[in-house]
Amino acid sequence: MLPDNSLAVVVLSVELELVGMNLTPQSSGYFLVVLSKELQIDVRMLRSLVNSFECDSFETLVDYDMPRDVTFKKLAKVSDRTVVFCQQLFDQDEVVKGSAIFALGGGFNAFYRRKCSVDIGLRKEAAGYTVELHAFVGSEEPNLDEIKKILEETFDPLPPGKVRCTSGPFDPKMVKFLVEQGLDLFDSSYAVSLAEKNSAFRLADDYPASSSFVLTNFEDEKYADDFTKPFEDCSCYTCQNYTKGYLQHLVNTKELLASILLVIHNMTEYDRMFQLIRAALSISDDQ
Amino acid sequence: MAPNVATSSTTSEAETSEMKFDVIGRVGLARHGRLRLPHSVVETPVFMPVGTQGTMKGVLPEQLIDMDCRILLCNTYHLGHRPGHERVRAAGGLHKMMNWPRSILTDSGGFQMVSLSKLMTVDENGVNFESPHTGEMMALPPEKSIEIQQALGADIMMQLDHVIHVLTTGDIVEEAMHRSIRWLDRCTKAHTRTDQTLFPIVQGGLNLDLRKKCVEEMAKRAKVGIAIGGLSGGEEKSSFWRVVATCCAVLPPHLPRYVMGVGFPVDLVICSLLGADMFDCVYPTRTARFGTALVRRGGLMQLNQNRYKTDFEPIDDRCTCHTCRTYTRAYIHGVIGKETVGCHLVSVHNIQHQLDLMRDVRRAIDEEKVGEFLNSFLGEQFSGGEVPQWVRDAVGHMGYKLVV
Repeated sequence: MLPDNSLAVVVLSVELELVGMNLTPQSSGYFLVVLSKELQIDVRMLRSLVNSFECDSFETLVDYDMPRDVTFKKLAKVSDRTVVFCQQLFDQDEVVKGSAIFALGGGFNAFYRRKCSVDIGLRKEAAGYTVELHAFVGSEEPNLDEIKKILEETFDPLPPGKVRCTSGPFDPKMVKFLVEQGLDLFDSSYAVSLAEKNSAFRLADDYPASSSFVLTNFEDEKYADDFTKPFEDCSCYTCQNYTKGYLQHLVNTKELLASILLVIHNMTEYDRMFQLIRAALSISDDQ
Repeated sequence: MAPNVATSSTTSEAETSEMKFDVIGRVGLARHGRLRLPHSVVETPVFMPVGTQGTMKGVLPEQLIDMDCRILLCNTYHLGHRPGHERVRAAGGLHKMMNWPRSILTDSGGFQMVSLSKLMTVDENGVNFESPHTGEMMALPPEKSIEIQQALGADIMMQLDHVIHVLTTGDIVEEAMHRSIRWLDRCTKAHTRTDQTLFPIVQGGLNLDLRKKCVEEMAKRAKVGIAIGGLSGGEEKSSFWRVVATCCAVLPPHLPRYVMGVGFPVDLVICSLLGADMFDCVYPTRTARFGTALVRRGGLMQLNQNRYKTDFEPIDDRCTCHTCRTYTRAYIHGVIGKETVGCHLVSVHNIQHQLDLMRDVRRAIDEEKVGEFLNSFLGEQFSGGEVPQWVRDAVGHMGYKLVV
């Protein structure tokens, strides 16, 4: 149960990443999203799904089947599918309730990134955007110049006043970089996925001036005899009430409480990171 | 008798007074008692949830306090192995390490050795076992069990006893009983901390004469409380309740009686009414992992069944736990087995169910309405089925009239 004053957004793409997705046309003329053999949805079902969830907003779908080595022919086809799916979603009698967050793709190709923005991003239904960046998540050394170029091409045709989101486990360094490129809204998957790896993070004291942070992995037995706070100056529930040694014990015994306490810490720190980023932005705004 | 139900249990109040047990209400054989321990005042009859590894299956200590849980059980064998008792001592003891300000009971570690070790022998020195983790042979004499338990620092420690399977017969039953008495004396000698108490464990298998003999010896040596051990190992229910009844009948009233390993709701109620005061079991959290909720009406609710898919009622509309106040059966059905929160939500409900059941027993004693409570409890628990014969026998033994 969510608190009364919180907003909820329907995101289908999280599941899609797990099972693979491509939008394929079928005889009815509607595009079909293949989630798995058992679960397939078309645009009518998506509309009814979004409406029955009664969330404040929802994301549209994007065909992200555009690997780096994709052929030009396929690139054009995939790009068209996203556009047509979007048209089918809105150009019908039945209204989709909630604010539409338009998912924008285009793979690694700058031209198709811009094309996607022009083709669907300018539609009047767009309350905001979410930029599909899954190919850049989790790589050790993402090519920042490439991401920068892609985002420039994506954002250039779009009105500046609409919210820009992205999803995926981006670390503090990437978040800072993406904010600098004009992104506004991120999800919490970094905090959770890090906890699932039995790890916690702490920002450097001068974040975001420097974008560095430290990672602590509690699988490491060197913490077993360390009964100090996980992070000395952190005010989260976990750091105020438990020790590194206890977290190591919980991780070692695979207890459920390990991930609960690590998620609490990581969420608190991820939140604090955005406070610091906003504070830094308002200072630079004043100057 | 004028009942006076205490609802507060401040730590400072408990720390300034010594450990003791007062019976504050009595109906038939059943007692409402108040056990003062260094970390909390425990109202009995009480159910103690089991946090084997020093955590309660993903439930935060604050959530347990919200449920008015006053005492937990932690397992010496597991904690002695990981993180190790020296580490727990270095962490400032179990209470501090796991952020639990209220009372804790630790077992002796002997029972797990019997159940988890492939190779296990017992001699006069103690229990010898092959560590399932390192493969080496290790010895656990009574002195070692106390050393470990003193490092853990629980409010209540259990003596090392010679555990034999409950269905064992012959001379070994009596030998094990006598050995348990000798081991109690060794435990008592090794026990040096004054802020922990040590419970003896009454043994004697299903032989009622041996049980009586053991009670006589053990009760002489008991200071704050005593346990009835060696049950819940697959014996017939008709033998089980008779052993509990026999022990409770001969135990002096000033000792709280802890029946080890008992946790089914009907067992808790019958044993409480026979005069037992403390219980522990992994049952509520273990069964939650399989999506089973404990309910007063009908006993069990298997939330993974398809009929709950579109059931937007709480697990139990009379239950005040966080899960029942917040979530529907359909939601839990949807997440059980997929998200850890499913098991967590059912664990919270099941622990609350046991704590509330014990609170209702205490209230029935306070209000002298035990007969009414027993009938309504059994009527709901076995609705659509028969009340088992052993329950009828036990109820008859206590002199209550059953109308269900």
